[in-house]
Amino acid sequence: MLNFTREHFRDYPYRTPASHRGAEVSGTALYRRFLRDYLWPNRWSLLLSILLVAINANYSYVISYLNRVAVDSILVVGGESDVAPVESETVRLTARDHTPVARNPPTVGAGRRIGQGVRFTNRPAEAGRKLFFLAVIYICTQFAFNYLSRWAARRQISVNQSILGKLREDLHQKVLDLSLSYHHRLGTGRLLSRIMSDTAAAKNALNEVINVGTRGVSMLVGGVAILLIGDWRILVLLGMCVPVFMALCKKTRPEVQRLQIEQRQTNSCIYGLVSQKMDAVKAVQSYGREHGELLAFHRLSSAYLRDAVRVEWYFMVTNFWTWLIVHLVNCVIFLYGGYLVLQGKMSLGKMLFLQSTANLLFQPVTDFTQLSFILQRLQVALGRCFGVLDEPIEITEDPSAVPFPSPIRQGVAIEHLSFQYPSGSEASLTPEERERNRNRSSLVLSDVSLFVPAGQWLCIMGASGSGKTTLLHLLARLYTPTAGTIRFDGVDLQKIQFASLREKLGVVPQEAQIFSGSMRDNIAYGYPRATNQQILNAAAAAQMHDFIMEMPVQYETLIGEKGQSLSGGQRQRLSLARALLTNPEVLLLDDCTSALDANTERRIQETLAKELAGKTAIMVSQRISMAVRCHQIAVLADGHVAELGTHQELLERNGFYAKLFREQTE
Amino acid sequence: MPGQSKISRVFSFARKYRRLIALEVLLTLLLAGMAVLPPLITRALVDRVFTRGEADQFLFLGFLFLAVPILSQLIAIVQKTLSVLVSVNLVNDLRLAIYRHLLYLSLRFFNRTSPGKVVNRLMEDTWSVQIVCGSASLTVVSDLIIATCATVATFAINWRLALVLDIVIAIFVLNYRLRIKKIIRYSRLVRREDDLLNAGVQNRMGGDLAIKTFGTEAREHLAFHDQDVVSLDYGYTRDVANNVFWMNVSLINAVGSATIYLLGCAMVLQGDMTYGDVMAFTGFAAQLLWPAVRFSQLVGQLQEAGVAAQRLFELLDEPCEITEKPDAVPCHSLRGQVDFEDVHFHYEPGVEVIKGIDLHVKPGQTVAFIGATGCGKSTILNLISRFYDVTGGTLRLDGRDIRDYRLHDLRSQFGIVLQESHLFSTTIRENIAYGRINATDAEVVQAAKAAEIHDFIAGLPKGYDTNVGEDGLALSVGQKQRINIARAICADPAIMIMDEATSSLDSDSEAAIQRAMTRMLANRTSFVVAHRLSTIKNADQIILLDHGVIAEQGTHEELMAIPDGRYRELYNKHIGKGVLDD
Repeated sequence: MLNFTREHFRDYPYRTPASHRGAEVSGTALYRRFLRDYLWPNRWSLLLSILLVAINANYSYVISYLNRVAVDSILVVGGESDVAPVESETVRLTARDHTPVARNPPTVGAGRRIGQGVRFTNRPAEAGRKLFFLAVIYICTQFAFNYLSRWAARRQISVNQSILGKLREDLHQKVLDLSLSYHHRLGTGRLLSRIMSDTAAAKNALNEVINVGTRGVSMLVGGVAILLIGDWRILVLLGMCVPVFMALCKKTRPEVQRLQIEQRQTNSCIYGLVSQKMDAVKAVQSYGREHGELLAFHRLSSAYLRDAVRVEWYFMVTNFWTWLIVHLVNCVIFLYGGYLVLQGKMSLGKMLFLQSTANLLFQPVTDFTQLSFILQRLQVALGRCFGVLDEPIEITEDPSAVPFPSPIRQGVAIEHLSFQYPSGSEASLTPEERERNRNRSSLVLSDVSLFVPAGQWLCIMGASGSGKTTLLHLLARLYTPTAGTIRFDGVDLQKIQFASLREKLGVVPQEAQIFSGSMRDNIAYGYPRATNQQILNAAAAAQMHDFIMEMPVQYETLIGEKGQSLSGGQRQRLSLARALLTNPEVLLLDDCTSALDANTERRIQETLAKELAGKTAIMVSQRISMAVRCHQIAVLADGHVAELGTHQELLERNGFYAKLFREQTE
Repeated sequence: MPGQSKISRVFSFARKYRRLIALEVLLTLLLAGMAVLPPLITRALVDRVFTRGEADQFLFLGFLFLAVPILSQLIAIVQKTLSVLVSVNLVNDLRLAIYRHLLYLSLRFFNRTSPGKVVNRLMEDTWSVQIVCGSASLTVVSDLIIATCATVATFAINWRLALVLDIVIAIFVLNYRLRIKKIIRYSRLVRREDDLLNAGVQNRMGGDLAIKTFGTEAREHLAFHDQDVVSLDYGYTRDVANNVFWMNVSLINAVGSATIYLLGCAMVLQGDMTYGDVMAFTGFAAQLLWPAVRFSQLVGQLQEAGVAAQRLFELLDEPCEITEKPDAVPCHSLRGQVDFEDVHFHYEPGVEVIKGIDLHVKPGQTVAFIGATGCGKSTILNLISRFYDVTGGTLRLDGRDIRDYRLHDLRSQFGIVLQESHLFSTTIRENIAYGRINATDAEVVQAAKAAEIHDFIAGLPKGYDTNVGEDGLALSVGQKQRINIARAICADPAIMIMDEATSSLDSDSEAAIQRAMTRMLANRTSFVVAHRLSTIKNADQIILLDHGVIAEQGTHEELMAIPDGRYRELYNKHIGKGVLDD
């Protein structure tokens, strides 16, 4: 066996180590679920197409039976004796299959005496007409089977497409529902490879399983029946091969499965690597790391291709052994049959028919070998798809959820809030690391309590990494708190309906997220029904309008993926305009002016003051100029509220805020 | 055929493997030769042994009947292994060549091409090319030879029947001609729709936060669904068209071979042929018909591969705008003197972004650029690090035109911290040491300390070995930026470039980084773009840009001294005087 792979070279950077790869799910559970969720709704179409495939599979037997008729009853080839050629004709026609007439052993002289006349007399008188009828039957059968299978295939294609569609859409829906930390952990490339390529792999494998499996079973039944009637010894001979095939399969199966899992894994890692690096090509180039990146890609790509070669090699070897057995048995049957024909115990037609039946019977046997490989592919692909579908959704809507209390009267209360990011790596830690982990408080927020009265503004400040953004994310219910509650007008955030929460709560994230589409579509993202005037107003409030109007097609300007054609400041303003357009009840602003120049920032602060007058707002900011406009200022440090009060109060406390104030206004 | 020349260009990658390929071709020829034998053996068996009863030939012919296929299978295994090895290596080479090219392409390309598209091309298109390079090209060779032999043999056996066979083959070709266009058209449509689906998912994953906060999951899913339905629809049409084609093929094949067989039988009845002849003839007919089927399949693949190859070579032919001169000089330790002499630059002809800038920076100086969005700040930084070449004037580094240096050497002299902080899915250590792989642990820690991120990293359970992304590490923007700064510090560059690098940091850590930077930048020329004027107050030169020209230039004090200066106005606004006066 060629050794293409070296295991210790496998855990490259950018390739998930083995321990991260989700628990193995047993094959039967996967199939049962697939059957229940995806195949069952299509059961009638599937059944029909399976039935048609099954009928169709047997056409080869019919064809070879027709051959037999041609050989034995029309052409009457083989085993002619030169004794009384004319009389023997009728005898053989009636008694051929039942009691073979003992004949003289063929003589050497026979060859010389095969003249046209001699052979012609051996044949039934109306041979030509029979042949013509046979041809008609033959061709009609062909057409019938052909059109039957066209119909079956069409049914099957539509079932396949609907299963593919359902699987794809379920995955997509699930991925959308999953929390941000999941997206963050898997990355775009890998999610993409699950939604698009794993589903396609599952569909293709399913298609093959149905075709190959049905054909195999059907041909097996038909072939066994024919051989039982024809010559049971051939059947015994074939039966002896089955354990050999099974042994062959058993040997290579686990290895092939492992390689296939590796391959799909590597594939998604390459997707991940390439999409990440193509995103950050400037960073790659500016550090002159082109060569290193090429190497990383080379390693992954080579690992993939090595596995591909190895799988191919396994297939080739298995196929060779299968083929060899088939060939040997085939020859034995042919020679044994030939011997019988020479002995005059069997007609040539029957011999050829039985031999070709035995030959055809190998088809299902080798098919079953194939089937086990295909099933593995299906299992791997399904495992990956269901792996995503089984991922628990952390944030779900409570069945007894109520609408958002609107208009908000009392305010937003944060009570004893603690939070820790879910760790994806617990399993991969060494015992010491886990110990260290336990001793260390990894809480991002611990016991934070704040109250923002309705219509007031709270400014959150603090060093980077102190939990400001996390607090806003918790308020927007992007994560679920580890402990403590958030209440809007006394209603627990967990008990508020999603739709109304999203409608009433506006969020402007720190890193603006832009979709490919027009400027207008992007601004109207949260409120697609907005009128042009509303969109213009929102853009103007975010200091975006003038800049947009300078572009050739203004609001119809197309923005590329992730807004690469916009600068950081432009993106932030776009994202602000988007949130303002939805006219939310409560606004969460996460340092949304960090990339703006002082002039623009100032103007935005002024418009915000106008727009947000009377609204409840919680904002993260680094700027004193923003903080002074707020009713309350909270300073976070290591997940605690370190300082809380108005501008004046905090100045008097002479803490972090006062220091910041001095730095920025000295 | 379109794309044929492209395919031949793929084969130019194959020169490296010419010996293996030669061996492969040799084996293929041998196999093709051997393929003529089995039908002849069968014929001899049927005619001589079964019909004429020459029992003494039985053993010998029986042995041949057994042995010849085994021998050819063994040869086939060697040949297939060779072909897999060659094709896989070929594709690997092709992928690497493309990826290498991509890595060296200028930013202009990436500004107009989405990464998703590039990934798709690199991964999917190379596979279609592989299929053709691998099995397909050899099949063509062997099929052609076998078909030629078979044609000769059929005409030798019975020319009338051979003519019928040729008619059947003509029908094959007709079926192909009639059907293939639709298949190709729909294959392309499916591919295009899948591209769109891909791009859509990528777009959504990039905007996941916005989707969650606006609660637009249902809408996004509907958009996916709509696209999906179109893709599935085209997929259905393509598969049905494919099915019709193949069903036609199998019908023509079945009816054709039946006709030939039965005509043969009729000829046996008339005494023109022996039954052994018929069997041999049908054997050869199969050798001719299956290649015809395979060939039609292959032409489809070839066409698809042609399209794929075209898209790949489009990428490969994308000109690298930034090229090295053949006589480029190495540069290892620059002093860091930068001179702009009447520098002009435009992205699109006719729209000048930089309109004649003269600027002289002495080694060790810190230069800050400020100005409104779109005034050309980032562009200047891109010019210094040679992501773009100037379109007019010259830019000198240590007195030598920047284009005279070797590109790789030049870039390794810069430490660049970008506005967007990219972290890669690997350990924090590798992220920091990205610019200098052979950095020791101590150097990495030192860089992290300088960027004030060490305490945070040390507090993580796995410390510097924490995997960004995999370990579910939620880094704040500020932390990401500081890791990026650590990366730049670790690279120990001669010239530091910071494009809005500290905008997401709080003033406190910014000030701390500033202190660290002052230490680090003591001997380094540095260029800074920042909106926060507090960041740049200490710069040796502050340049206020306005629409591609220098509006004000000088130190903080000098600029503050200009009575109606714009810098002065900006600065006053920045420190919040206006607000506090309210």
